[in-house]
Amino acid sequence: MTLVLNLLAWLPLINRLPESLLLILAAVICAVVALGAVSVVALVAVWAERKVSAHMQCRLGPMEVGWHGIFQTAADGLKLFIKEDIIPAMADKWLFIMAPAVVFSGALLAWAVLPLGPTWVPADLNIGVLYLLATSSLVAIGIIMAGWSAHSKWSLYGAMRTAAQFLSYEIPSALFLLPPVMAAGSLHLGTIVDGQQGGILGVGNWYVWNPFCLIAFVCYYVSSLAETGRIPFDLPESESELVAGFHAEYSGMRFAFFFMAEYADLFVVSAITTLLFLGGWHGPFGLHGTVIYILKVSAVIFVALWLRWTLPRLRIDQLMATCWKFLIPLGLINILGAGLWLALTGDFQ
Amino acid sequence: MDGRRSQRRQIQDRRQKEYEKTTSAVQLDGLMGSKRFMVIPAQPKPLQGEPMVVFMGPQHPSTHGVLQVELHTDGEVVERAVPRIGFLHRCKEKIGESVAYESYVPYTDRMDYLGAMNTNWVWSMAVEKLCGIEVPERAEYIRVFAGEFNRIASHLLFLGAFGMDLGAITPFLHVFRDREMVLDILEELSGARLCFGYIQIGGVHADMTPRAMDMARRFLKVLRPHLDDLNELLSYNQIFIKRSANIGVITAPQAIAYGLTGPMLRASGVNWDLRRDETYSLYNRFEFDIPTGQGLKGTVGDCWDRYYLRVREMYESARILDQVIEGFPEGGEFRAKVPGVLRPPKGGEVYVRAECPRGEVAFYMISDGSTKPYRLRARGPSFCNLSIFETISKDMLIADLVATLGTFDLVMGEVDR
Amino acid sequence: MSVLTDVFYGFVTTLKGMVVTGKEFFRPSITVQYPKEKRYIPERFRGMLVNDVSICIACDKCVRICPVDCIQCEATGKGKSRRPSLFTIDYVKCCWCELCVDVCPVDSLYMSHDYETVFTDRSLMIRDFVKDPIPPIGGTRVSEEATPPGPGEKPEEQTESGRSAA
Repeated sequence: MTLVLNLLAWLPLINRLPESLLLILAAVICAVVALGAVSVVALVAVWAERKVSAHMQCRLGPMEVGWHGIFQTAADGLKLFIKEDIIPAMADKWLFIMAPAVVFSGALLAWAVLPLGPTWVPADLNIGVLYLLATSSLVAIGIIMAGWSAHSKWSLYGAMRTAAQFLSYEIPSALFLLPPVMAAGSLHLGTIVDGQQGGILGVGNWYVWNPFCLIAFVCYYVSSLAETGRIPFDLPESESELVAGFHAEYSGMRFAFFFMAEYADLFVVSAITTLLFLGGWHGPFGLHGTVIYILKVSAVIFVALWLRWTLPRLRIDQLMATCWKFLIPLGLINILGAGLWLALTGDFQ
Repeated sequence: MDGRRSQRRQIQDRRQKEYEKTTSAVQLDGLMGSKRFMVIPAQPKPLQGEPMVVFMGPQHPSTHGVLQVELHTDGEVVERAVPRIGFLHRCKEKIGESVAYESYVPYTDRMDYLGAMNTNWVWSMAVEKLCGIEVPERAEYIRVFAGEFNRIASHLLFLGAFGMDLGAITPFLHVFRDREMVLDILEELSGARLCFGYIQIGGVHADMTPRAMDMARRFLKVLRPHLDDLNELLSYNQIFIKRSANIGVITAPQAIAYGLTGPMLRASGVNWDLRRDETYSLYNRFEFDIPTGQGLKGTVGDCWDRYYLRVREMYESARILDQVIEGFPEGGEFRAKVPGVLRPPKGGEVYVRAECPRGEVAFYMISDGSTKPYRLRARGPSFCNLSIFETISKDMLIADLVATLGTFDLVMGEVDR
Repeated sequence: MSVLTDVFYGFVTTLKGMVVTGKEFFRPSITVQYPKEKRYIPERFRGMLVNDVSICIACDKCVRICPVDCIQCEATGKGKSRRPSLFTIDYVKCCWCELCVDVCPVDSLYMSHDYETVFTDRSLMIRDFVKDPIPPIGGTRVSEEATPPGPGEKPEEQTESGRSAA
């Protein structure tokens, strides 16, 4: 954001506008860039998912459109765009229309604080982590709206399950994000990443090497998979049981919104994992920068895809049992342990 | 636009009437003569819920084939699940009365289309028994070869489909890779990949080729490592076990009472297999075990047992095939001399059954001296297996219902015929 | 307590499963990219049913054995000069069971290797082989490939060798 403001201040005509207008203009530009980034990420993530799943299943995946199908997602997006907009007759029309927007904005809002590099962040909030946890709850409301408004029993089933799942897994997500926050002493994402600088081979100071943070890393990753609705927690979609669940009645661009929101969310969650546990943009041997960061996030996303195509899905009660009987107590114990470690040794390294 | 609005209006009117039934409105005199209504709710009734009736309709990703299940659910818990069949009824038994014996083979293919070789085999055995035709030894060997390969292909498909029901999509594709190899072998023998029509009256349609034997040997080398991989990926996966163990338990007395056969019966612990107990063809020459459900991960007769039993049956089929390939006779006829037009003697009545991938397939025929049967009855094991579905589906979650239905290994072609 | 053991085993078996899919990731895929690549067609493959009316003696055996009555045949001439004057196969009904090929005494009926036939109108699906003797739905009786692949292996680049539809 500061970059954009500086850029605007440099331009001849625009820098004569009043300050508030410049701020708004900068914010709009940042939002547009974030939206563009979301689209690109969704594009690449969908292609990667299809190719990774294909190669794990001894087949080839998209091969026709572009080199090895790299433009397949764009073609699919275009197809969804030109489809007929069907709103079921008995659907609650305004809720039906708003639901994808709410879900997408829940995913998009988190991009406001995601840094892409050391200084590239649209909004440099010093409560970054708290903001991320808060905005990820919006998705749950959108999904309930979608399931309810579609006026279909199957959608309702999907929405009910999903609401329970998303709200329950908010808690472990938050609990397991606390150890790195405690170590860095701040909710600001930049500070947390800078706390992981240096160390043995340049990677020794990553928070993930500490045992409590390792537990936190794994469990946060699992809870975040549940938050985004990936297998093994993929009840929201549950393709073989409820025929696409809460978004069964959606088609065309509205469906595309849900779809993009899922991948945007996946990127956000992988980015949080990388920033808080894997050293963000600090790479080995003192290298740092955006490329290292994107590589790490891609590796984390690859593991999410890998898990998706390996595991069957959990049932709703097993999912809830994992959350409430295992993850939450473990999260509390983990905070205790991490706190003791910090009190005794002062830092995780 | 208007139609929608009036539909909505009707629903709103109906809701208004129902609301008014539960309340009573009292008219009060308001300010300056205006009328105001105060609504007094009627005597409060305890909240009565209704079970939600949902149809898992004929087109559904996890009701294998065209099966409709009428679910009465209370939230996630199923109170009653009634299977409705008949969507694939093709009057096979009636058609059997107007098609000659030797022409009926394609119809038997399409009953259990995933175990076509085995169904052909039962049909051929029935007609041979009726007419007194003896099948040469080489033909019997080829029949066992084809039947066991078809069993492997059918069980492979079951594994993949069951994994898909539970959300594991990758094993489905791995299984299809192996299944393609089997279908290549059977294609080499018969020319077709699904509805073979290969095992015919008197023997088989065409002789074994050296290429088919070679392909079979190579496949059997590759099968066991692939099955081990599949076990690592799916069978022993803890999530899979949690989803399928202790679910949909069928006890042995229940299984026998409902007439279940095949893997469903054996998974409940009943040691009964027609290949050993009422042996036909050459099965008494081969050494193989009959696996039964042992409740390794839960109770005997749960979904995991039914699933794992089929995996073990594949290992046993591979064993039989090794012995078949080893002991394959050098020469011999692949088909007995059968008259061009078959006329079984009048008054013949025969009931022949055999062990197919899904259970006991049987044909009952009455002949009246003409070229066509007087009455033809086909017993599809999936039909009898499905009869227990309503009983065991009480108080299950929907996800468990889907898992249980998956282990029934239904082929609707057999259920409806 | 059982939750802990479940989670522990869940973790371990997940990793084992990931090893299997990971290994699979690096194995070459077995997809045959049709129509650029085509599968090997074995000798007995059942493609479209074709009758060579120059050999056919119109004995009606195929008509009688067909389970779905898709063949119609009328004869002219007697004895050695018996030939069909009408021989239609209705591809709407044909179920590719090959019973007619078995029973043909002169081997005029055969199943070609063609699987790419396309009909654009249902009236085209009844073919009269007397009027249209040279089958445009090509096909060879015997596959012409030199080295057939094993089970599950990809074929070499296939040549068209007269197997394309009109």
